[in-house]
Amino acid sequence: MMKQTRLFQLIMVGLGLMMLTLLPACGGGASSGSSSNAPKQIVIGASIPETGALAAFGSYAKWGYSAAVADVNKSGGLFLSKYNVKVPVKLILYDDQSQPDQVTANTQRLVLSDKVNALLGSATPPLVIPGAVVAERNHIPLVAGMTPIRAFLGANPHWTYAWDIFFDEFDMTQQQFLTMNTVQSNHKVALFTDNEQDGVVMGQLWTQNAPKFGYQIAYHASFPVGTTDYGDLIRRAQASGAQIVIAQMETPDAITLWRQMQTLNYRPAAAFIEKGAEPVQWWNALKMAAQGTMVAGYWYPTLPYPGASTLRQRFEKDTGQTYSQHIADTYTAAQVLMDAIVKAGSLDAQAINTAIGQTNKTYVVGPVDFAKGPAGHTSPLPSFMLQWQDGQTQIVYPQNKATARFIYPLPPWSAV
Amino acid sequence: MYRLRRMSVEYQKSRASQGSLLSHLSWLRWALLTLVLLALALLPQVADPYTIALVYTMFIYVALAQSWNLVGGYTGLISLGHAAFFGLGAYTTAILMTWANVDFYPSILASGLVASLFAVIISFPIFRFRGIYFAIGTLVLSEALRIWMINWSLTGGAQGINLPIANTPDPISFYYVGFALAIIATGVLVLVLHSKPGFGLRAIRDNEDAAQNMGVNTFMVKLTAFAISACIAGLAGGIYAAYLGTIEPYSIFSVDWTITAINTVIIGGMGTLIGPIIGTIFTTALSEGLKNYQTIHLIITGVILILVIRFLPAGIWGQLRNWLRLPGSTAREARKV
Amino acid sequence: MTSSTLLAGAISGLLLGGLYAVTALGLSMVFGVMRLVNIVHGELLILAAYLDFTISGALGIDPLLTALLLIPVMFLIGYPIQRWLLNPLMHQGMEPPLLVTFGLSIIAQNLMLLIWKADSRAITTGYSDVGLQLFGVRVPLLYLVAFVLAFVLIGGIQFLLSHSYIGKAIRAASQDARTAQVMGINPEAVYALTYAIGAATAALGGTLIGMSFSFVPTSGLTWLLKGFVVVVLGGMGSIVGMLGGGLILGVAEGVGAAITGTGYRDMIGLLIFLAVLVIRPRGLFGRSRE
Repeated sequence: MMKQTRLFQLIMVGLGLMMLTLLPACGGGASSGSSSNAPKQIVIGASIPETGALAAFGSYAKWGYSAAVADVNKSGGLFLSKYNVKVPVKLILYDDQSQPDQVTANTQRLVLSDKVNALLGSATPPLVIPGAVVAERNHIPLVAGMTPIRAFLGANPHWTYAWDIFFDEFDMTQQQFLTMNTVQSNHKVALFTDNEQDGVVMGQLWTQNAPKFGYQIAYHASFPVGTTDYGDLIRRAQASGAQIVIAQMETPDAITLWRQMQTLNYRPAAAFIEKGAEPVQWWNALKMAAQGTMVAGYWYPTLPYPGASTLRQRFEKDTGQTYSQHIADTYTAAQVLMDAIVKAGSLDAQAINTAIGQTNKTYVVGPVDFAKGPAGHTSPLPSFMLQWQDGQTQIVYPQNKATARFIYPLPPWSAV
Repeated sequence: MYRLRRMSVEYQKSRASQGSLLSHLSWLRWALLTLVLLALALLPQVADPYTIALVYTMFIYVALAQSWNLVGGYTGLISLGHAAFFGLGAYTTAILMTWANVDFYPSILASGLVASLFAVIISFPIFRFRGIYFAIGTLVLSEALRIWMINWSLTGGAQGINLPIANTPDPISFYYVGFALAIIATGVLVLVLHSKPGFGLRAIRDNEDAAQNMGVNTFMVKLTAFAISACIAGLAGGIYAAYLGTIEPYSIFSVDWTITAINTVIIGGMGTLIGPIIGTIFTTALSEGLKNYQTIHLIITGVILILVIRFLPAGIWGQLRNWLRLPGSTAREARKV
Repeated sequence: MTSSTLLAGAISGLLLGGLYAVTALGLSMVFGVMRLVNIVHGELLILAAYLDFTISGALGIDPLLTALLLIPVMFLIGYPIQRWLLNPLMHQGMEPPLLVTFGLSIIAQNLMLLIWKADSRAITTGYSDVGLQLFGVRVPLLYLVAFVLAFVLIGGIQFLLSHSYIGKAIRAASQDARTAQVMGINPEAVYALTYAIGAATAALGGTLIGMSFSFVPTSGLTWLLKGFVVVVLGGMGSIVGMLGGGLILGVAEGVGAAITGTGYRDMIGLLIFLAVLVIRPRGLFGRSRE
């Protein structure tokens, strides 16, 4: 008995001491006091969906952010007036696998462990918002380029550290009706919206806007992200007689829906597949079955903005993939952030944040001015309508910007 | 762990008489415990924000683990649906803080209550399932709840809820709240185990029918344990929701939370007080070490879980205890090892 | 919502029920013979889907043919799991093997995540989008294929169990392992064989899943839960009853989803599961085995 207690005592003492010594060692990683010397590098971080349902958008973000940082580093980095020297930029990207809780974990890691000076956003509201929440709580500025404005503000009407450059759903949810007004149809619409922020916000707006343009929502299907069986919904849309389908869903879900519509032989005269039909993965999966499907656009390489067409060529050369409009807003978001750092002249979060708010310049995606947008923290991009034709997206509305003829109506499935 | 099931009731009784609170802890153990607690209490003063956040997360995991330990380790009810309680707690706090402007502390208390209430309600149907069906039943229930919350527009559906920053404590306060919860969770376990229902718990674990024959009100004992366990898990969920700032049903009701609880308890030592703590330290260290390889970390954790069940059923702490013939271990089992 | 949508839901659901029965077959066999709840069953299905996706994609073979190739592959994956990992724990009660399969599930999910990443996949062929008219309702051809396969496969397994030596050995070991042992049957080998056959059926089930729906590494849980419902509706351990269970689930989901909306589709089965277990813990068709 005595020996047992002695041994036990020794072990407990050892363990206790170990824990005591370990703890300060953990804490020993505390940041060394700020020096009067210039920082060695500027650290910008982002959590992006490199894999998962939103991987396509993540790939554009990766390219856009990396290209902007590379361009800046080519000339030696960003000039910080406080230290009178150019400091290179380090970009840290973590994969959030398209999972919101992973975005939170990644962003926390970027802020607490990697000690980033500023953040860039992920893609789509479910992923951008958690990152913005962490940024807001830790007072680190975050610029996002891939989340619709109303959904962004829906999460927090009064962001102080998070900024967004993207289209305004008020504007975007009119484009479908405006486009349809250029042709004949029975004016009946079937809506397919998932139950995430975009689906809910846009679903409401489409329902509101339809009567204003003379259209009727004959059927509205709402379903969770990741639904694999749309049979019941498709049948009801068919029964409603809708000739126009408007959908807001993620790409894998949209592909499944479109395929099942083929199986059940539901062929609308026109289809607007928002978000889902944006990346080239939509075309790659469906090929000619996707011919004629439409998706709202906010950027095109032939638009008169600095570096627009070269950006597209650069992307296609770098990746061998068809471009997406997202390369422009992600590239711009990174540039806006870095320009603000230069304007602030230092790495003080408050100064950078204020400088972001003062942005007023035309970038590759278009004019960026946060004062112009809702809540003073958003910069809306204009919306128009794109249509997939032979593996490329063409502008089909408004007609004065059109780059190709509007394919309407969609030929029957048997002709595909 | 499963050999314990074969222990006779008399042996249980004789051990129970040794089980009074004070005799379990000699003065040295008290001193060491105080030392450790003091160190943890002073940590935020010396450590950097990342470490503080890390240790805070460990506190939450310890609380969740002890909550599972109470039903799984001590009562023999393998719950595969603990994520339900965690998620309900998270949503309760989120809803109260965001829509009813309730302060943080009352919100998390409500979280614990709502989770307990849910546990009590489902006890009636689910305790009819014995053994393995109970485990499956809890898994099914938890997933059904998850699907419900994903679709229920009243609670935000898939968008989830964004909590206001206004009422939320700062990271250091969260640390202390988590610290308190971990201590409470372990403390509650100690209290319950030394109480009359506590002996009933272990009797039920070993042989429910025999316990019933001996006069133990098995239903009430199981219900109490389940409700307390759910309460702790709910509190943890509520605190975590406020900490995250935004929750959505896919992840907050995810079976991953149940997996975390089960992993830490089994690897650390089921049915022991310190086991879940050791398990949490172990899995957190592993996770931090492999933080750039999250997927591999989970694979390794799964492998270790299987190895522990197969070769080290008492868990790290349970086995350590047996080898050192510490009080609380079962001398019979030690000899078998 | 009209009667035609309900009818469509019912018919489509009935066919889908065949698919459900096929996917639940392995789970049912393992539970019926060894009283083992194989938590990793869902992952076995998804693994088969991934393997089929990769192999049929790389070699350009029809996915259903590839599934036949995968049957021995899945058999060889399943056999060691039971033989060396689970068999030693079988006498310790029902929880240890359950928890081990739980651990296997974690490992399998993350292995698949590591290899195939988190992107959503689907096995597509020339005929995967074909639909046909059945009783005035348009249904996917694949559902019909799965329905027919269900009867064939389950009929085949039932025949195997009742008419072959292996089948008799399996039934003997499941009814009374001790006596079977006395009669010269090695229960451990029987268990391993049963598990392996269960895994082999996952080759077909998983392929059908991959062809009819999209999947990700974490899809296993949904299919495991569907399997639970089918097994409990059909009576724990009754293979033929399981077919009925699958059909009932399919119809219930189809009609229920038509009424409540597609989002709650998966929940319907789970609620049925709980209800049935509360009322009749033996399942609807099953024999009393407890």
